[in-house]
Amino acid sequence: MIIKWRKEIIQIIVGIIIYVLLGNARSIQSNPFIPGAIIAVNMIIPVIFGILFGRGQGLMVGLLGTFFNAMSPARNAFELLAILPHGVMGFTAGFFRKKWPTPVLASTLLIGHVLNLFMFTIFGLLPSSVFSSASFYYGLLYETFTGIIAVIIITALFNLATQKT
Amino acid sequence: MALTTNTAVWKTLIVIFAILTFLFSALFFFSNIFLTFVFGVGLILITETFINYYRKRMQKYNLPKWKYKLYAYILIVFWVFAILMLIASSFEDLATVIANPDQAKLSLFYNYRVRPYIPNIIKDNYLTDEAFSKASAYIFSLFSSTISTASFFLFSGILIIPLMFYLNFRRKDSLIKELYSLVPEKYFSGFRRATQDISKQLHDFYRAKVVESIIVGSICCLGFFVAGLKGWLILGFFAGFFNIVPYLGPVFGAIPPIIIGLLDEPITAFYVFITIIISQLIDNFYLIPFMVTSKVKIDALCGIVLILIGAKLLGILGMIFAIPIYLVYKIVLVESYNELVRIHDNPSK
Repeated sequence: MIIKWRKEIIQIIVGIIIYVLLGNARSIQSNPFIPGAIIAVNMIIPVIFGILFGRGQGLMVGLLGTFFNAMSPARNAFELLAILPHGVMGFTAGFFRKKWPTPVLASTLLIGHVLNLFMFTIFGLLPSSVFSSASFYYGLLYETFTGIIAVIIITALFNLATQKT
Repeated sequence: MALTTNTAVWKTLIVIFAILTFLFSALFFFSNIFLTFVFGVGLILITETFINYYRKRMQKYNLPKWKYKLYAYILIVFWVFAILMLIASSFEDLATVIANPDQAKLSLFYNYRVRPYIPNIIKDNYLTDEAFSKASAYIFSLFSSTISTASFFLFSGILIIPLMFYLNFRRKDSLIKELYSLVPEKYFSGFRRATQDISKQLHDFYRAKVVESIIVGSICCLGFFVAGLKGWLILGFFAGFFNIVPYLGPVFGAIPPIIIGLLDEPITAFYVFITIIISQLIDNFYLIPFMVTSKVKIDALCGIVLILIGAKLLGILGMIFAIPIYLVYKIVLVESYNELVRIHDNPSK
């Protein structure tokens, strides 16, 4: 039991470290469609950990990873409001990991994006005028699509590397 | 158990040892074709791993055959497209850095961070314009010879690898059957055990090395991305790939990203250096002792000695193939010894 807990805690810590590192990466580009926000490459991490290890890891990496990232040099108001959405997103991916195929599970990124937008709007970080622009939706779809592809590739590679012969 | 004193057993073992040595010498003599062959085997094993994974995942859906094949083709197209896109974008990034290095930053970095630490004797005697032109001529000739070697591998690969794929996926069973039918009956069980053992051990070794390279490559990719290195994906992939060569590989893998980092921004090169140090610490203190060595059941010290002997005898190729060759020798000689003892010491059995 202790070994199992230790393994889960290590997985969560690794997930948080990767999330924060990606959040502070110098390769990150600003989001051309949402002023002040970045292209959130690190959003794929809670989903990947949810798919690979389960709902607990997905939830904790989403919540704590986003929290620590919000405290890191890359902090911004968007990141603070994204704590809950990213936790829910990781939890959902982990919750359905045995029922749905990977591409569908990867689409839980969309849940994260929708919840993020909801939070940004109700806390006034995103003007409602943004929603009337078509380029905003293209940007969102592009980010979600590339995220889904990245999740599929990374989970497949992980499973291939760790499968028992 | 004490070793046998039967001279016939030892004489036969010496002959087997000589045959194996001759076989490996011939392979290393035709090293270019041998390398293409090894690369082909690697590709076949990767393809088989993908096929097994796909079969395992699709088993639960119980699909008709045409759908099963259709999804496989869609997946192949998706993977090829994704890989090509990633490689293309990575090369595009690299090309922008190589074509337009930030000269001002570079010369600032060289004059204030590098030059003060170079002893005067080296500056006066070696860092002359003539030395620089010689160095650039050497780099150019190295580049041309690399391209000619790469084209040789490409052409021999195009000729040999499809044939290997055909033999493996279409005629593997009949070839094994034919090979076994050539073995005399009294040696059959030992021969089969030895071939199965060799196949399993080499497969385990290959798998452990691939997983090790994937992990090191992933750490490098992540670190290079965080560092803001242009072309992080392709450079991380190369760092993982070169990691196959023990000891020297990580150095070969580290040079291109550090140079690209320096061409872009010196601080990037520093982060890249830190990433490589971290990846090597994880590799040497966790991956090699707990994954690679335990998988192939070789003592860590024995592994180091074998690699050093391989390096001395056959250079870089020897370093890469030292452990697999040792495994083949070990299994063939142990199995042959057991069989020979059974036949010579207990002829009634």
